[in-house]
Amino acid sequence: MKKHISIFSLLLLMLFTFSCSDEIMDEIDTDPNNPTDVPISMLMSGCTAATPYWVTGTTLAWFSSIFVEQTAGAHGQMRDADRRANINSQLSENSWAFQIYPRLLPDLKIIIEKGSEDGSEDGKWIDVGIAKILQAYTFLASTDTWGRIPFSEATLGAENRKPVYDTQESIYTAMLNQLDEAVADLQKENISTTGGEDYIYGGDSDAWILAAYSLKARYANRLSNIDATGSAADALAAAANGFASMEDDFTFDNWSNDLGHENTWFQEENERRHHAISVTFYDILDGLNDPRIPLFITQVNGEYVPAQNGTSEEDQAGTIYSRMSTNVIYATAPLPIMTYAELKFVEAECHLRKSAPDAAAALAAYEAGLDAALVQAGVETASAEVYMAQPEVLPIDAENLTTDMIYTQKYIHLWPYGSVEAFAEWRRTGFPTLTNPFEAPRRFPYPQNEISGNAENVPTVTAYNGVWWDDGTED
Amino acid sequence: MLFLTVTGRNDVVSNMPSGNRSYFYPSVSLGFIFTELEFMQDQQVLPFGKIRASYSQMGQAGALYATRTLFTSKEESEGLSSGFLDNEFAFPYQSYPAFTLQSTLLSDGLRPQNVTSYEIGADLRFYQNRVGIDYSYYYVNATDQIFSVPLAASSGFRSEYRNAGELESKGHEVVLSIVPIRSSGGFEWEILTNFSQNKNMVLELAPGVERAQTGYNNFTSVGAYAYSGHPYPVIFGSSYVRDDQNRIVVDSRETVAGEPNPFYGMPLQGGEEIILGKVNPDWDASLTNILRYKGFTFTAQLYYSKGGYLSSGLNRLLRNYGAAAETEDRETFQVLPNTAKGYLDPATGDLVNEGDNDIEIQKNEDYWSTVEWNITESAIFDKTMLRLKEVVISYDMPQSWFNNIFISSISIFANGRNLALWTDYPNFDPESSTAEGNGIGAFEYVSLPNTKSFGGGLKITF
Repeated sequence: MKKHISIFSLLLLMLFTFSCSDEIMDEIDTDPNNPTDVPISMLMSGCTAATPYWVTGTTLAWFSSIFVEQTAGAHGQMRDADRRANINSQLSENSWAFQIYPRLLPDLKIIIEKGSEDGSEDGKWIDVGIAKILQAYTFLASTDTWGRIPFSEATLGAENRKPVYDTQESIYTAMLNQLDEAVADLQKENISTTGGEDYIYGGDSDAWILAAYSLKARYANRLSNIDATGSAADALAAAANGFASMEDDFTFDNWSNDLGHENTWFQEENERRHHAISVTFYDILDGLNDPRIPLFITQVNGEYVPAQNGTSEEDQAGTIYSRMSTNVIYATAPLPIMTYAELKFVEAECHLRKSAPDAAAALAAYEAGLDAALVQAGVETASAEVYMAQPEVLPIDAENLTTDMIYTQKYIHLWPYGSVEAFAEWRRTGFPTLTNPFEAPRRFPYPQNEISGNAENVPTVTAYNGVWWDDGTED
Repeated sequence: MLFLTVTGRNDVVSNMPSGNRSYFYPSVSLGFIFTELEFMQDQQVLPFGKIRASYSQMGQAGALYATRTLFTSKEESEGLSSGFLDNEFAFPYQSYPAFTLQSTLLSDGLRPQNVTSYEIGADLRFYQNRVGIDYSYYYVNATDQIFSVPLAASSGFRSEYRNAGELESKGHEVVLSIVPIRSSGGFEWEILTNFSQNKNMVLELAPGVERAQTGYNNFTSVGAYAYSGHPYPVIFGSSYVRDDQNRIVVDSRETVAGEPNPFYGMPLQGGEEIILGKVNPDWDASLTNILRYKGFTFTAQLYYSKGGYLSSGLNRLLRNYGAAAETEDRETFQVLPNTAKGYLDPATGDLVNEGDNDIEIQKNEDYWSTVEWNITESAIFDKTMLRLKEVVISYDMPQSWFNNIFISSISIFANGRNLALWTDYPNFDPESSTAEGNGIGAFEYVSLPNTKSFGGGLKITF
């Protein structure tokens, strides 16, 4: 009898358990804190902060700055980078494997899918346009940094755990086209209400259109070693619709003084202090009596003491070498992604390189760029005039304008926040002549995460091989 | 005399995907006290003897909310971080919240994991319980083990939570108790020993999965992994370059690009991360001596653990900042003992071995803060240790002292814990660990070590 009772109660228990339906279980298994879907607006805020933060303003920028000798490593990882002691797969781990691929790119893709036709927020074309611009910028800056990267099969999750590495050429073609697409999207009839969650332009579609064209000019110009005149024509065509003044700059200017929301370079300089002023950078300024020296560079015991890349002393304390000035590096300092001045330098170069060179147009663009760069740096008008009165800085006769002058001013203008771009430009133009005794990398190594997880697709290449637009070969 | 226990259990859980929510698992165990057999009863040698065997299965669900990939709020720990900066760009910012697709890929293909265990054992007590042996051998096979498997980040995810492996675990456990002296005068000496040996192996990981990360330590790149065909878990990280005699190879290039090579004569770093050591000890044992005499009891426990490796963040930092004693001599020129010299061919990455090392170097900042710092292997140490775990002296006062009052017993005791440690592990306690979950015992990063403590007390029972 006893046995019967226990079997009976067991059955009863099982019945009771199974009566809890699948739907109820699904409900129980729903995380109250983390949704399965979120609106575009809640992704846009993260993306418009993450793109400048991760692509423009942190690890990639710091290492690029060392490689292109805008700064010299005075401590730890940056000093090791100057001595090429850590040019290995760890160097790219943070940027690639924690930030750009697993966090930023999936969110940008989701915004584009949601806001486009048949998406859940179909018609939010301003958001789609913004995401396409940020995605193009991220892929282009990434391929400049690493060479061949996963692109066509990237961020597909379970559909493809081991994406192939596309050629840089195909990424350039696709992303330059995407910038045009973004412009078209931004002009469509739109239901977006994006405002403050776009931390860059506050949802202003006209401003984004200018940024798209300007970026197109920058990246079209990068292909000068592949197609000298064609790239100049493409860049000039895009630049004609780009920024019209400094007011249009593509800049993240939304830092604040509270902990964690400060300018990334400011945080670095306050906490880690890896960077001193590079002698390469200083000598270029000093050679032209540049009025930006006192604005950009601190003194040690009343003198400018730049550090030699590759052989500098350990100086985290900043007692040996000059460092970046607090005029430039402060908590709320704007982080430019691309500026009007840079666009003008691109135009100047392209006017000299196009099939029918136009020195006068080149000089005009160059002067506009130089003017803007000096104003942006905070140079007083009188000092700017003295500086520009030097013919090595601003030639009187347009025929005397050289590409080296343009590269020089662009290199100075890209200091310190535009180092990712400056590193790419050094590889394209050979400017400046580096002084580090150790050979400089011409790309970043692939991260360990890819070597371990996607070995069959990771190209076999060293950090000293040029990328496609650098030497014409992919690997 | 004969005990048979049979159980059956069915779980239905909500945190598995629909269709994989219900699972049944049984167990059977059999025990036989053979000293209760008739012919065993009238002997003094073995008053008690039992043998046992068991088989059990156990199903286990995965973590909560692990069946669908979700969006997480970029708040605090989920904010933007550079990996370099201490502070994260937290949301909501300027009153706007932010979400991001989580970087762990989850799927509805998840199945419950299943653990099958077999165990046999015997419990034997000889000579009025003066010698006792309790022995068991177990074999555990875990299939469909749920792991967070690293993914190439270009897939859009850093890891995937999935059924990914088959693990086995087998081992012996022996408890031996002996009473060598039990005198009529009231003196007794008892020895208790405990020995255990456990081997965990990863038999197989899912197709396409080379290794699965099971423990992660912040701040450093070292990880604890399940790696097919290897003990579980293993520490993985960057290594020295070694020659065919397994000697560390130092950089033989006096100059690089015409400039003095700052790392001349210092160890080369290998190009890829490799297995650096298994985490768990080979075996461990404890020895407890108990002496009793007329109410006095003296207990001393020693604990020994053999083998296993720990990644030491503390030693890495101490060396980096020049605070470790071994970094004191930065001037003497010396050849690193038992090393070879050579360099890595820049084109192929292959080692060009130039034979025995004769390069004298100073162990300076470049050596500690750059070369050794970048090689995970330099801070992986053997955890073998002997510890005096506890010493207790106590005295139970004779009942006769307080026969007529309401107190039933009084004892006083003094004890000391963790009194001494003998180990080759440098500068720290090898039993410290900062990692969580399955990474326990793999990493240590400036954690709190075991503390030495002394105590005493008075115990009164009413």
